[in-house]
Amino acid sequence: MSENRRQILQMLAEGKINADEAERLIAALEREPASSAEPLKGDVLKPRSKYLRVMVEAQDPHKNGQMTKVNIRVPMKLLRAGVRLGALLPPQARDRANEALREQGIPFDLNQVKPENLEDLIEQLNDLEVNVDEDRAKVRVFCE
Amino acid sequence: MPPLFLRIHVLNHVGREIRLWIPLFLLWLLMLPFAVVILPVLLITAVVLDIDPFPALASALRILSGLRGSHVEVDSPDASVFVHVY
Repeated sequence: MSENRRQILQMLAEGKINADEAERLIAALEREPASSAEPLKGDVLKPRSKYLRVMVEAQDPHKNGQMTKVNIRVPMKLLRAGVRLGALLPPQARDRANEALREQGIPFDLNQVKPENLEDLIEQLNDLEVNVDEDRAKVRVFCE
Repeated sequence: MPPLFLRIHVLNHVGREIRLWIPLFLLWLLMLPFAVVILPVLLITAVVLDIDPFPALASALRILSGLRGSHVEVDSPDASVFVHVY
C-alpha cells in the first residue's frame, strides 16, 4: 500500500474526512502517474537473481590438454535454505566450524550469519561476478 | 514444493549412455510411511543434540524445495554427466 493511500485511510479512520471524500482522494491518487516516492526505473527494480552459476573450462594435462567443462546452477532458494539451516547449528558445532575455517585461512564467523542478515547477504550476491581467465583454465561465477 | 523429477544423463568415453528420468514425486509418496517412523527418532536426536527440531525440520523442507532448478553438467574427455532437478 502506498504512503498516500495509507494517509487517506488514516484520515478516514480519524474522522477527518468522510467516506465519499476518501473515495474521491483515492480515485485521484489512482489517476496520478507514479509519484516520486515510487522507485525509479532501473534504480531498485533490478530483477532479483534466481540462480548462482559456476562455469569452469579447464585443460586436463593428463588427457593431452583436452578440455573439461563444468557448468553448475544453484538456485538462490537453496542458498537461502542452507544459510538458515546453518543458523540452527548448535553453538559448539559452529565454534568447531569456525575453527576449521580459520585453520584453512578463511576468517569467517558463522555466528554472524543470522536469518535477519540473510536477505542482505543474498542481495549483495546479485552483484557478484568472478572472472578468472588463465591459459589453462577459465572460471566464471555470477548470478542470473 | 519438493522436486518432482530428476533427470540424469551419463555418457562415457566408449559411447555407453544412460538416460534416467526419476519421478521423485513417487519416491516422496513411498517414503511417507517411513517418515512416520523416522520423525520421532529425528525429534529425539534433535533434542539430544540441543537443536530446536521444528525450525530444523522447516529448514530441511526448504532445502528440499530449494533443490528445484539445480543443474550440474560436467563434460570431460572421459565422460559427460548431466543432472537436472525439476
